[in-house]
Amino acid sequence: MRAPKFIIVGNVDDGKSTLLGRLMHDTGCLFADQMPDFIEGENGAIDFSHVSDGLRSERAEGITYDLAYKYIQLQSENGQKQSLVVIDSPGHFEFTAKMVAGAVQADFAVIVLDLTRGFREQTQRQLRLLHVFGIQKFIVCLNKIDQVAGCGGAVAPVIYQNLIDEVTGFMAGLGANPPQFVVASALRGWNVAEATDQLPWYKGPSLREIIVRAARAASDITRSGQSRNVQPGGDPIILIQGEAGPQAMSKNWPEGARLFYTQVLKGQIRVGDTVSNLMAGGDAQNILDCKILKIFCGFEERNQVGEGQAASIVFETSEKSAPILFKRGDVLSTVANQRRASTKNLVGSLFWHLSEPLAIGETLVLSRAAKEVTATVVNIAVLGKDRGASPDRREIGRSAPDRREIGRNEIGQVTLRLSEPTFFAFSPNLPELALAQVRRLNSADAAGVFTAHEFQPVVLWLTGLSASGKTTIAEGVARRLKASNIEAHLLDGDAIRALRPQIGFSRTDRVQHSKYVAERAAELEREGGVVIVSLITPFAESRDYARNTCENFCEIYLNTDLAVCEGRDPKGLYKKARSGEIRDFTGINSPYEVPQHPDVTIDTAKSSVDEAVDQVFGLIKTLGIATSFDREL
Amino acid sequence: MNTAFANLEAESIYILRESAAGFRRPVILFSGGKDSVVLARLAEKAFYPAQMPFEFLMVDTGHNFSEALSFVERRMSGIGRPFYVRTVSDAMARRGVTLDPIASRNQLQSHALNDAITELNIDALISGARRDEDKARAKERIFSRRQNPSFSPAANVGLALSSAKGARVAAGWQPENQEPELWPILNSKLQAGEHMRVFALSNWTELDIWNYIRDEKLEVPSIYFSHERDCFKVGDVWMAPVADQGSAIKSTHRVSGVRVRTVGDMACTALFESAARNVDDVIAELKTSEISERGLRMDDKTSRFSMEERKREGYF
Repeated sequence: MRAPKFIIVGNVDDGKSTLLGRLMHDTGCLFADQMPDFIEGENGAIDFSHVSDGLRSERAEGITYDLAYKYIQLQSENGQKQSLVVIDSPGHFEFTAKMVAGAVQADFAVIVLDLTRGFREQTQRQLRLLHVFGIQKFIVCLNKIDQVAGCGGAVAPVIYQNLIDEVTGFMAGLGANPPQFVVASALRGWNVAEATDQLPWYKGPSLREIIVRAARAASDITRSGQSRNVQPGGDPIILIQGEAGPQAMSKNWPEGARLFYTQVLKGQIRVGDTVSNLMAGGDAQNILDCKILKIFCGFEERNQVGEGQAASIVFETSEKSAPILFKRGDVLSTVANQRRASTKNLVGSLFWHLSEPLAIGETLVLSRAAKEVTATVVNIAVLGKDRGASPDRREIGRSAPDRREIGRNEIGQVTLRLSEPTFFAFSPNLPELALAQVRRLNSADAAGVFTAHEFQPVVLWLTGLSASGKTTIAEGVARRLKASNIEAHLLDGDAIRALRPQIGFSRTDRVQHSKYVAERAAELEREGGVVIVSLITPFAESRDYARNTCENFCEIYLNTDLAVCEGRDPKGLYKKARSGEIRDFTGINSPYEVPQHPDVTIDTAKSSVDEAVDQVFGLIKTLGIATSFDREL
Repeated sequence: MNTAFANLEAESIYILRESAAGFRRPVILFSGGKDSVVLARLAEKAFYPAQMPFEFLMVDTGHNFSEALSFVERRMSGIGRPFYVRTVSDAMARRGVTLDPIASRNQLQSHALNDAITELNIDALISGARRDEDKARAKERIFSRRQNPSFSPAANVGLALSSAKGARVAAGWQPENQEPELWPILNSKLQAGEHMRVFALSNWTELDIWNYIRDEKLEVPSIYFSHERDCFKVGDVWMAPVADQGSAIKSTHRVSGVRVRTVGDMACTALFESAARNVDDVIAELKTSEISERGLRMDDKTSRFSMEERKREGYF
């Protein structure tokens, strides 16, 4: 079992290293033979900051330069020892990238704040980044209470409460979980390992107790698989790490069988399961489903393997002649119909740490676990900090960005165009597939960190007769997306026609009109948008054009009966068409070519608006395009 | 945000496979110590039923415990992969330096290692060093880029022999300039003239290693367990005389129950009195120990920053 990890962060001089040293000292995590190393000066006093600041330069400057990993055990209330990994992070602006690298590994975060100096910009930057890079549990330790005059008296609790309100408000603005607070003095050891009687007004637990509880919660959840919000028995996700050469094949295996090295990132797989490659990117000819013939975990052959295990798997193909085309970095699942889960248009948050800013049009190399892909930066939006908003997913399409380039140690929202369809998980709980390290083309140096957003660009195209319910359902879908903080683009056929009065209803005009809408939709999709189109689109050629123009295209067919539509006739158009007042009216005197392979079919005569919207979201989920794998919409 | 790896074994196997995929000639450093024993086992498991793509390298200081050497021979003869031994004495001979028969050669290992990197054209060295061993190790990445060594001339080696600070071998560690590592993404990109150091057991603790040795029933050199040995006292610990010291040591005693905590150069690895006769005893002893793992390593006692200094000078 892995020990839970937490990152400890603090602005320079807020006392982070001293707090960590104090915690380790007072909880018996230090060895007797190491103690002389921590003693500084002639009077033989322990300098607690030496415990984690192990480099010569760090001790000379009194600054943490780099991440350090400490492996400790803390006592819980019932006397048991809880193993923990501490990721001690630099707090200086200069080393922000190292903090991000620490944050992505951590189960929770401890933020140290000098309460005599208040809630400053660097701490705000740290909290924002911790939130964007997946920290969900925050423990804020308000340090140096011993320096507040009369800290046992009446003033200190007021300072303490004001700071709590300030930090809590800031976190709410980010959309982050509210932090837990503790007041302490690292120097004097108050409320670090044990609760102090020096602060009678503080009734809460010590920092140690809070950390142990958070660790328990993290490891309990990891055990049941819920920390990653993964539902037990859900669709498996398997990452291919490599392939064994042909000489590794046993003669007893069928012809064409191949051995691959994999990690089961989620769910469970069994011998006999059929898997498909989620990286195939919608090209039907690339899809070759394979069957699992054998599973090895270490030296053991097994019938099944579960989440978090490294497995070597022998696959066999259904067609002997066709070779298995899995490559390193491919992602497999047993779910059918997920072939469009990979995408070329990708939206996410990007933290940049080079001094030369990132601009639109640049080419980057994205490395996620076991996979490298090049990407062009199509769009950048950096939001001003005065808005107090984090440029995370909730800001998509909402406000005009302040700047179109990302400077050093800044975070922005980017839209990327990948060189090949690549599978990203859009989930902070599958970092193997949600995170990527970014480099500039032709450079070996890391330049930034990318995390994919939960919702990815997609075009939802509603086709059907007039009054079949397209606009109503489109608005319903948009409303539901908005509840998840996604601002969708609504392209309504009638509304666009109003802007283009020269377009008529002849076949030529209709084809030209839907072509125009398809191109606008594709443009918005490329910029990272979720686009909902409601347009009759009566001709197959128009729908084919839209499918080919857009990257992630979903055809939603409303097959509501003509009689039902005519009965509704909200604008009296059917009446006019029947009377001959309108010519070329779809369904009456102009044909509607029924879609042959829609992604979903909805009969609005039989389902309510809510049910219809459910169906659309079900589709989004199955396709894996516009949602995480692990969150119910 | 946390990775899916349910346990340390899966995490290390992931790292080993990424090393196999990312490098042209990845080589495992095998000393016969407990960490390299675990590392070799994980490498076998990571590619089973196929064979691992790694080769093995041992740097022989000439001051090894004979029990450790015979164990290394035994283990490596069954692994089915190329195994290279490169010696400090050869590396020093190439530099025209005569070795002090008694002094610790721990620091000089760097020269033999660097020569091997050049000779074998190694682009990744995989080690079982762990972050919980030492405060400088605590700062390590899993993949850590380093300049390839250039042959260090005799004059510099002379310095290294005479000064605790030592000569700067080109392959130095520069902790301030390490790039952020975004676990679980391991960046195997090297620039010309660089190799990678890979720490596949980074997140294992000493106790994790022993628990794994117990669970997997792995053999380790017998010097990890209580045994009888002729030793001499230095301060409050025991040292074993190196073979060619011979009668130079006047007062060795037959000590009935000593063992080592780490396997290293005899001239810098102290023994301590212990009754731990098997893996279970070792684990029980470890849980109550007041002494850190490297508390008995004389090479760590030269200064407060001895590990950091050695690594800056090209030590692994």
